[in-house]
Amino acid sequence: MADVHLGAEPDAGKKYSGQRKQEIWDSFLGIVNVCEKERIDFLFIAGDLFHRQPLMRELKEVNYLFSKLSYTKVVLIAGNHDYIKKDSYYATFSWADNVFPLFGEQMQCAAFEEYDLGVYGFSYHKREIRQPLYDTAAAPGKFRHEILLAHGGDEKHIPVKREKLDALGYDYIAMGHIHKPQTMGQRAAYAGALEPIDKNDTGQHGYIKGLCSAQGVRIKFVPCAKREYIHKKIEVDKDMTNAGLREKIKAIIDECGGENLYKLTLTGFRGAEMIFLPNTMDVYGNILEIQDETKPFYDLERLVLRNRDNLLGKYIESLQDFEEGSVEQMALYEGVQALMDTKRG
Amino acid sequence: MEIQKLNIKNFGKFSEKEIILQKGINVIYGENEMGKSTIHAFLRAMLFGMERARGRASLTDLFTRYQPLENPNYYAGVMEFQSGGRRFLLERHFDKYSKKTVLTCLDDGEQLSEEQGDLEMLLEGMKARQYEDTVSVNQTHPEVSAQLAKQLKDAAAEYLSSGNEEIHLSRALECLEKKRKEVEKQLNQNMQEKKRKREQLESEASYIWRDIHRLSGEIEETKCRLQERISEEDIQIKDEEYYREKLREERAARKKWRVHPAAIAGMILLLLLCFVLLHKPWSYLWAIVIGLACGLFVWNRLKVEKKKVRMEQMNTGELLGERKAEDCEKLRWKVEHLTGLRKEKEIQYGNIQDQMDELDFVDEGEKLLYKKKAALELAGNQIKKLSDEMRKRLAKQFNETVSEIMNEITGGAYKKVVLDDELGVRLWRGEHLLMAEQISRGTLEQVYFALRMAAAKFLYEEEFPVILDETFVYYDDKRLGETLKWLSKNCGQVILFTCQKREMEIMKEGGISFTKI
Repeated sequence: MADVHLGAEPDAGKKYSGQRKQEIWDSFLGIVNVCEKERIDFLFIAGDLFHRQPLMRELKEVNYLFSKLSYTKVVLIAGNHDYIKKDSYYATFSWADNVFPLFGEQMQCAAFEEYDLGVYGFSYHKREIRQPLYDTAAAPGKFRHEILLAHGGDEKHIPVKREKLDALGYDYIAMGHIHKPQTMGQRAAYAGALEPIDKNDTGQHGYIKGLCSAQGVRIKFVPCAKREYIHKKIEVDKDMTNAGLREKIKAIIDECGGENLYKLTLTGFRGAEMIFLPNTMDVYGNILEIQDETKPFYDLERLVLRNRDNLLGKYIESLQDFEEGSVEQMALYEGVQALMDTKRG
Repeated sequence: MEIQKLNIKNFGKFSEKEIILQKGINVIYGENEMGKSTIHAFLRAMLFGMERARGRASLTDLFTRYQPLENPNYYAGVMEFQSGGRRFLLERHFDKYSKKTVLTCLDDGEQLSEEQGDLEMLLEGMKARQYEDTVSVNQTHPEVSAQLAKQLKDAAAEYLSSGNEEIHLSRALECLEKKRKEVEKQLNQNMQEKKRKREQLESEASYIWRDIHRLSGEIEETKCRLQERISEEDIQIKDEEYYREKLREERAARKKWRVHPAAIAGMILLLLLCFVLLHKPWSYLWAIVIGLACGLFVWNRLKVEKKKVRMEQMNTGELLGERKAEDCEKLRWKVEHLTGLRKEKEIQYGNIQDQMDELDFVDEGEKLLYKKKAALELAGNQIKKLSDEMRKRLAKQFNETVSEIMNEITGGAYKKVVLDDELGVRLWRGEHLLMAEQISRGTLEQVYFALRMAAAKFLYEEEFPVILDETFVYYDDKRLGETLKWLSKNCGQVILFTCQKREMEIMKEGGISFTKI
């Protein structure tokens, strides 16, 4: 598991805001319970367990939960959010016996002789690391099974090349930082954020359950997040009204689940005289944002033909050939609408 | 527009007079006082009505001037004309009792209403003022009014008509500006919201900062106290040692004689005396009693002494020392506890700083607003730019039209007319640019004629009849010939009022067809 971001307060719409922070803790507790119930051997946390510098009480809370595990050993590293700052509690906290933090700035190993397993990893000691440190972190081969906990994968946080990961020689690389769950080659995967943290963390979220055997590592993604962020494009046509749109939105939410959080984008062509009122659309209180990108419906070609010699035609012609979504295109529609709305007769 | 028939029912000196007009040039020839001006006034009254002036001015206004002498309450006329391929009959009554206007389409009999602007529509919004500035050329006022300049400017700026859909430039720009302001307002609101959040975080941070300071102070204080205690303890330990030493000495001294030797000697003496003085068996009895009493005394004595020593020990501070030692431990613990608290606060403080940094990120909604603002600005600027270009091009075009007409009617003497924004005129003659004041009356009139004709073409789609009332008095024969040639070639209908035969003769010579009425 990775990117739990305990302490974060993600956007959660009118209805659920304030509740979301606790939900992340609840989800984390859920994972600990799963470990206990399923007698999991190892819980790997590939960074960003906390959203910010952990407070003592938060660490105590987490440590208490870990210490209750009867079968599970926990190995964790610190990521860019909870990086080990000078004076961080991470540096001095005394963990329960079954917790093995790899908080060094250099590669460290937690050895488990009884499993012939070495778990490797290092932690962030600053917010950003731009060097591709994992490119050269090949498995030392001291144990039969070797696993790497890695955090990063974008430009500012240890860039990672997908094709190089398999070549490092680990049985499995548990990765964190990118919030979208995904595999990286044959033997590496991002578990993704346990709960979506940002409104752009769309899709399912959860953790990865893996089985390490002589045949290698088999992994399975287990979705468990309480809510999902869903982005939807709604295509409107020139006959769409506010009431119609509200119904359409309601239908979409009913279909995709009322517990989820929505960001909606209106596209297509609205009737030229129609003004949408996004503020009235949040029927269930779980819409974060409605972006109105609709364009007024005008038959530009016909307008140009009929207005070849006048300002309107010239205006359309001057701004016609810009790409979809550009400022110029937006200006085109705004200008045409202004000219058409104010014309006489 | 083509006027086909005038039926002067009762107007000025005319009553029940019918005038049939044709396409092309119509010459209404007559000697003075034949009623040419009356017909001209009748035309104007038919087209634009006749409003009475107020007060004393009404005594000399057109209404009074052309009020029929006979039967003055029957003051009316009929006009038949063709416009946009349809024929219309316009009937007007001017007298105040039966004042009315009836407009009928002769093709389908439809009754049109003047009040609802049907006639105005047929005239393309032309008002009496503009009529006099363009197609109606009066000999007494060949110049154009300053209003024409303004009108031409407006028309140039908004020469954007396409059928009935006319674009209103300034209103469109206003609309864009309004939208832009709205977007700006939203952005401002966002900024305020961020500011509010920041302030909230700042105040939170300042509380934490205060706590940190307070804790630091407390820690310092506790540390000081601890230090003091420790040094105090050192002194006390020395004191204690000294005292203990003394005590030990005392105790050592006292240990030998917990019960004073004199008392023991006295007790033995008393026992001996008992045996010496008393006889048996009484001496035994007394010896037992005295022995018991002595034993009791000694035992008691020993007990008291022991208690005394312990009391002394307590008082000299052995226990006090212990208590103080305990205090130091407490202080140390307090320092540790406070330091822990402070660290927690410091981390919280750092986290809030991070949160504040994150506020600076621009989210997508905001990006869209910025984009919209940019788009609205671009739209406004683009429209302004294009309309400016068009206006310049139209001004140039207008200038060229005027130049062309002038060139033609002066037989190439003046090839170029330069007009400024206020329709001030300058003329190129060969190499020289002449001001209006430097030009002869005739030429100046010709420039204005050209200007009027160009303006009429420019402002109105429909071709209106050109009405010329003794316009050519100052024209020489050559230019008159060219002008008439130009008129017959370029104008659908011309109505020329004249009291001279000159025009007709020139047209006959030049082979220009015309109708004499």
